[in-house]
Amino acid sequence: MVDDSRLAVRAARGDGRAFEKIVERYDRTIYNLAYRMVRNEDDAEDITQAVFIKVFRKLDTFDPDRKLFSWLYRIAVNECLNHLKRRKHEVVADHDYAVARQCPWDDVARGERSELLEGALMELKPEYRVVIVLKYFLEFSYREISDIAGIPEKTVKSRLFTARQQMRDALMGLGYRR
Amino acid sequence: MIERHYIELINGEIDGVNTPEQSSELGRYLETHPEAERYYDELREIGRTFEEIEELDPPSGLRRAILASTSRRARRPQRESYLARIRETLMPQARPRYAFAFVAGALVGFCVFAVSSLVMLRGTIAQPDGLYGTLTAGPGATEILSSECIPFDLPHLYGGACIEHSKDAVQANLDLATDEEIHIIFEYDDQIRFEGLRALDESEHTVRIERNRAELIHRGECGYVLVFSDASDTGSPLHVSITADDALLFERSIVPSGE
Repeated sequence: MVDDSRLAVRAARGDGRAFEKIVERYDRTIYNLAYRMVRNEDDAEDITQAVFIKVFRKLDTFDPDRKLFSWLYRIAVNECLNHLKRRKHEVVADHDYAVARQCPWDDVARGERSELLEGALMELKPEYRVVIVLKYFLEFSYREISDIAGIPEKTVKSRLFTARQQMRDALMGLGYRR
Repeated sequence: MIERHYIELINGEIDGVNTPEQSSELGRYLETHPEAERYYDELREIGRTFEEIEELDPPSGLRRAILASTSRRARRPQRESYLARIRETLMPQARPRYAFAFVAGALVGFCVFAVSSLVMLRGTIAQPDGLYGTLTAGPGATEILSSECIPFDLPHLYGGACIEHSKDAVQANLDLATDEEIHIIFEYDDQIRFEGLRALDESEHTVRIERNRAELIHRGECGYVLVFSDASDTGSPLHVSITADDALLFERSIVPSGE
């Protein structure tokens, strides 16, 4: 498989097929990243499109010594954060479906567990949500998250700790226990 | 109350960044601290639940919409012109301080050439068509019989090849980007003879020429021009195959279609 940097260089030279290849490789991941950040399919679609248009415009500035995916995800993360800032009224987790349900986590149906977790994720501040999404959905290391989010590794680590703790507290607050 | 140090070890364990010593230390601590063990299990459970969440399929029209909106903003191709490439090849180390000397030399050379040409070509200046290969081609000399471009989007290769047949020559323009060593093999009949190859960029490549066969071994990203002479006058077929690691990636016979 031809590496990403080569494709980016060729796309920057005006090779439409190379850009198409980049879109093919990353549209799914970027869409999922955006969805996890905003939890709205239409917004995720708009964000994904905006990300690739930005990538297309900025290809000239891409440094081939960098990893394309880091650069791409950084643009995507910034686009998501800007989107959330613009919207202000973030999607608020719907607590009603789990009111005071004192039952063990393992007994909750898989689909419902995922729903609950996604709800708890939306309660996090966007800068904490980003590190969780990059860690759990995209399985990046501290260093890669640091590169993508543009924050020191130490901050990545501490934000992950805090975010996990807050999610646990939110789920426990909804009445779930182990 | 879990000590801060152990909270860090718990998080480190979940993220898989603890050393074996840290993992053992945490294990010993958890055995004697049920509250910490419960906390660890709860955090680990969150990670497990994330794994259960399925990836979403993007809307079916998303890719098309992206490509349509970017093609409307089409990039101006930035590929260097052929002349720029030649200039770069001829003067890779050109320095401004030599520019004056170069320009002066070129002007003197041009004047000498112009005067001598006027003297030598007095009889043909009135017939510009006779300036074969310089300003105007002779009748039929560059007539393209057929031209075929093949895009490559293979596991180890990206790029393309354009094969042009003219009456007395075949020109293959290759544009190759690959991470692995690939072999591009041209096979042809006795009418065709390999005349030369030019790499348009610096690249790792080797050429092997045998009777009825020219092989280019390439790695990296580079453009090439290969020229073959063709004695058939109607255009001879050229068989192109590409292999990587002895596996055949591509194979095609390019047959001139024009007359």
